[in-house]
Amino acid sequence: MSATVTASRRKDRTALPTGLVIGLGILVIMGLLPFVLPLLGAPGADVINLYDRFEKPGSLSHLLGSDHLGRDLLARMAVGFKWSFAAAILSTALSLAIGAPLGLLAADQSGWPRRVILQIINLTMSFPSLVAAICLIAIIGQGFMSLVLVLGLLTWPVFARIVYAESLAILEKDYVIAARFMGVKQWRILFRHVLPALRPSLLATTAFHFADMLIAESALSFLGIGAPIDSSTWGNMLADSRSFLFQAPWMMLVPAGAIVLVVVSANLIGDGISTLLRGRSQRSL
Amino acid sequence: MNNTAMTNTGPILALQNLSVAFPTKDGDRAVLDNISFTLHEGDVLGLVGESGSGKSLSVLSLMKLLPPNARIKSGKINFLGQDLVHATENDMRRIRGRDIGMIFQDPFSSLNPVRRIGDLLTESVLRHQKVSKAVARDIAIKALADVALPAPAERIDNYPHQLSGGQRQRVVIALAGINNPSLLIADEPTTALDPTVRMQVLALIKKAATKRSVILVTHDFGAAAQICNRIAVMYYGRVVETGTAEQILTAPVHPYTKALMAAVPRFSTEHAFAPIPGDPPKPTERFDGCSYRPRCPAAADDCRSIPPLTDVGGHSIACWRATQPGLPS
Repeated sequence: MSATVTASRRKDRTALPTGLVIGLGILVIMGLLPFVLPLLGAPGADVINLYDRFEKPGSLSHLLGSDHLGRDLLARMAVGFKWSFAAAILSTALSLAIGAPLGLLAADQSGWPRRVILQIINLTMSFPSLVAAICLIAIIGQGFMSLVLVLGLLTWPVFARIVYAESLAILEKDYVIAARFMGVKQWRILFRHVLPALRPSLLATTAFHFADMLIAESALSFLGIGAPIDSSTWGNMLADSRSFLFQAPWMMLVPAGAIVLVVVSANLIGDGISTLLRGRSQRSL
Repeated sequence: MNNTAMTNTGPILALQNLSVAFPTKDGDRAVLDNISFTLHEGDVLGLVGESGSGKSLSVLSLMKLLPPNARIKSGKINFLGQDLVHATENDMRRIRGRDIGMIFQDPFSSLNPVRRIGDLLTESVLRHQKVSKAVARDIAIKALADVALPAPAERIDNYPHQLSGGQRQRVVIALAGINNPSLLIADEPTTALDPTVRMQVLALIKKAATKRSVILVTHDFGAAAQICNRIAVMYYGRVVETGTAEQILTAPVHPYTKALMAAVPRFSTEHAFAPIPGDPPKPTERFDGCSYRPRCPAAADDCRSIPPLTDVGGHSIACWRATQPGLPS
């Protein structure tokens, strides 16, 4: 019996959706690039070479071309991934860390805590997020950490609403009621019985939210209020390309393409996770 | 064991004139009306009745897990010398799972599908007993062995979906009894099971009853006949007849109990399958007097006042016809 169990489990593992594999593959390659490029003798991201300005993509020295200061776009894109990835992942984590517990609490407490939390969610979502982000950054100052903070503080309702809606249904499930009949403490019911059941949708939402955060980070950096101006985030690269849009369109196409690539792979991962886990939970029921 | 109150010789549980009501627009609507029963150690009480008769609500009210808008209007719940009506939520959390174990109806939905059965078992042990994780795991394995789950030491790491329905119900029983509670409540424990597995599960519950008392909530006289020594028949929020299992099963007096027994299908041409005419009353309906009156073949004018539960030789019946002449048999 136990042999068949492990066999069927292994089958679950290997049946990964193609989208998930492709998405993860792209992210891994992007993640490895900044470490692999120097080993291949590619120029550094901040090396200025005024003889090599506006090199077209495809040249031997600059595979994806160079910018107005002769910096290698491939190297800048690779380093930019580190920044953009870190900013997106941290702000997603922050938004999850704020949103999930508040959503759980709102679902569990039917009285005034629920009303207060739901009103805070509505309040937060009613701000135009870009304007709110500009205001907040104006108050707390520009920088990588404040970028993360602002994105997290403005987007946690995404998680709060999903957790709230799904917990309401799960709190009615027999196995949660059974836990209550066993005298399990309420916080433990919420975090050990309800939250694990939300894992599939939370994982998928996290992947989608990561994509949103990546775009938001680039948008804010493009406007010059995101990551520090001298860092080579994709948003900053896009901002640089603005002045040379007709002269050197590849300066815009490289970071824009990178953003599209990572956003698409994050969405593929999100889709893959939801198909994978939906399939598994259906089998378990 | 984990309970000093076990040493007293009084009843384990005594419900006295318990009434529970839901507030509605036109006043409180009673869903339990003067429920009383007493359980001693070793007793297996069958609460029998149709859906909506209040048998599950009785259980919920003694666990203090009623829907938030329901109120205990009056009455007493005495459990091992404690007054549960006035117990705080914190006290109740300690009692649930430690002193009162609950066996659920549907083993498919009452085990969390994303957690290993061992996690569920040890969680309950660690909640109520001061033991290490390793000891809790040993207790869990022993509990699974006690309910005759094969290979408990391996099964403990399984997820519910890896077990069959009967195995899951064994896990549910192990979970209910893991902290050695004084009272075990089984809420229709066999409804969701195959007839063959049913017998085994009932035997397990009967075995568990030797050291404690059990309430079996069921609509199945067959299940009640197998393991109960006492039966209380409920109709529309009231106990209409209660006595020893033998009295109720062989000599029922209340017209409802008789009708309920006649409604059990049998493989016999002599006993025709006789469904009870009419429908059970809706919770919103109101009656003066006996709530079975609209469906009762023996109803008469005096049934317009509520018949009290009257003792007739250790066998209590709430029916005017039972205590007065003119009862059709």
